[in-house]
Amino acid sequence: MQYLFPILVGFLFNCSATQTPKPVAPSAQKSGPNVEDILDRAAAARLEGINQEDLKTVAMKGVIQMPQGMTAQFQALAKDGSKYNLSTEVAGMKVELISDGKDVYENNPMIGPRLLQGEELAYNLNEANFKRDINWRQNYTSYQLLGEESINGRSAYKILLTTKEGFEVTNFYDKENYQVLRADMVVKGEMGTIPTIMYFSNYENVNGLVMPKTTTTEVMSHKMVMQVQEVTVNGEIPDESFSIPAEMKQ
Amino acid sequence: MFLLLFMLLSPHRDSENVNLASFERVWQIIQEKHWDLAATGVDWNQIHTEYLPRAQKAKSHGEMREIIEEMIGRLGQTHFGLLGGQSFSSIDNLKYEAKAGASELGWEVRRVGDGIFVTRIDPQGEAYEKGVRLGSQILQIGPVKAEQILTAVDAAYANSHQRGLYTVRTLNEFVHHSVGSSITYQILLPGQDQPSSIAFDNAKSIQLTSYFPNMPPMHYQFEKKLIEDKWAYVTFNLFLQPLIQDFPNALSSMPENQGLIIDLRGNPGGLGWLANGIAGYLIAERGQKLGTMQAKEGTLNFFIAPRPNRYEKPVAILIDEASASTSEILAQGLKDLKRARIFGTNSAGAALPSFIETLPNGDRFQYAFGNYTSIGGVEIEGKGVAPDETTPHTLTSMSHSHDATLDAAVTWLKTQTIR
Repeated sequence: MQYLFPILVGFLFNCSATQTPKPVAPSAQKSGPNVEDILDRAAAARLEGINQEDLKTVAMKGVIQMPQGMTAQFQALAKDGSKYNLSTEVAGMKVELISDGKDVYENNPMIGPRLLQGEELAYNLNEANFKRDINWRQNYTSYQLLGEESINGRSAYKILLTTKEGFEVTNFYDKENYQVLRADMVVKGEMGTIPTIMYFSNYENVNGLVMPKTTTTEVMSHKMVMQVQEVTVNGEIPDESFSIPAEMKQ
Repeated sequence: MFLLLFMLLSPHRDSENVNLASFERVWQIIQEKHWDLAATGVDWNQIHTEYLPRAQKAKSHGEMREIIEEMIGRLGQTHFGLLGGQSFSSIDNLKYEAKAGASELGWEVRRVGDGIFVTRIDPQGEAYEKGVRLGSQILQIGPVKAEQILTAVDAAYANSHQRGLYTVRTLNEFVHHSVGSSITYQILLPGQDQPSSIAFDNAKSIQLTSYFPNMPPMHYQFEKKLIEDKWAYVTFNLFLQPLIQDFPNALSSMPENQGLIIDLRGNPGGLGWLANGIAGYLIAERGQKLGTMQAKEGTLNFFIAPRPNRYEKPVAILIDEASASTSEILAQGLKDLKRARIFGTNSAGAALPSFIETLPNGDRFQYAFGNYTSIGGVEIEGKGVAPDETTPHTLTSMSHSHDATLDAAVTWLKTQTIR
């Protein structure tokens, strides 16, 4: 199931949202609640006691329960400037995914190291921006309210968001507290086209950042449950943590 | 009295319940996970309707197992099966008499013609030490004659479309023995007219390592050597984590080689991504892949990430009827990409990715969740990888203690120029 690791990046960092200026016209609007208002409220719901400008880094550690009874340990580091470093260890193998803000490097010991290219690079750089949902107006060029659905017994707004690169994600926002309950997306890359569904739960406020401690991912007919065990907000993370080996850049 | 009846009946009822639950779970898994049931031509709902009454009447674990296996068999595809559930009693009895077990004597056998022959011998192994050589014919194991084994194997796998694979696996189970046991073989050594009696005493256990939490410990072997001081030869019995280091280390340890032989005969597969990983050492162009797996919910490419330390000399791959899964993905992909020439015999045709789930009654159900098509458009499942040069073991090659497939690969490498 090692092909699943890169998919994890999406939910490791996509855990926040708030408003910024620079409004962009929605592509379509239906009657009912204002989609921008929903997204603004969802963004605000993620930050309690901290301004998005003051949010610089996030570091997490935890475990992922994987198919076949396997358990993976993960560590994720994120920093302003679309920098991230995700390492996952399972069955004695360590898979790394590193973004220095410009390039994204993956080292899967089974497949070998590689620099991501094209659409896969753009997708991962977008994922690396851990404030992209905070600054949703800057990062999504269209947003459309598709309706309402029940997610695990909670009524939710279903909104289709599209990035400037054309990547789509459908988020389901809790109608009461505006937390994201579910996200649907199609992950594309050299490894293929992989529809992915993530369920978020156990939201907690960690030093002002309200984030889900549990993420359940359904991908290729299988389920993974990620439990965040440690979180540090605005801790010191040296830039070297996001360095891509020089030989890969050549 | 009622309590007594309850106590007597409960285990039986519980047993029926877990067996029926196992039947339902197998049916459900295939219903949910199969990537394209319609393409099989089987109405899976109708299958449930057809088999449920029998399942409800099943009185034993074994009876339910037979029903489930029959139901799975209707799909006509591999990688759906109950592990440990086949009750081939005659084979089991013969194995018992032959003291079959998990020891290692350092050899492999295949069926050649109507006999069982040693087709691989480890020069460091006990069998070699006792005088056994490539091409030796095993006539008898303890009290069990080779003909008895072959008859039982033929009967057990007659209707299997993977009988080649299962035959190889079963025959090799006979030539490993219970730890601590002693057994005497009757073996006809190459060039000899009369059989030799060779005794193996106090069989030693093989090293088993746990690579995955939900799988039994496995025995991993990797071998490298330089043939004729020119041809790098590597073989490994499984695609497991140690291969990540062993393969590149082997290449770098034989820098003088002029060509590479990857011997995947008998290799049943393992971690699928390691096929891409090996290919990454052999393919220079970015954007290539070995093939594509199609599951119900998406597609996965076996993409190749070219390694910085690539190997650019000619490559030969050896396969046989026991090369399966990841071995086939690697062989067919490199064949399609014209990066390797394939020697041997048609592979097992068992390439589908699969998972293993423990059923309520304790059996383990192996199921596929995708289809696989090579980059050249070849669907390996059920067909196998066709070698470029078909080079089976023959009675003649065995009598001369020759490995016909390896010989053919070396002959071909000698005609190649280094890129």
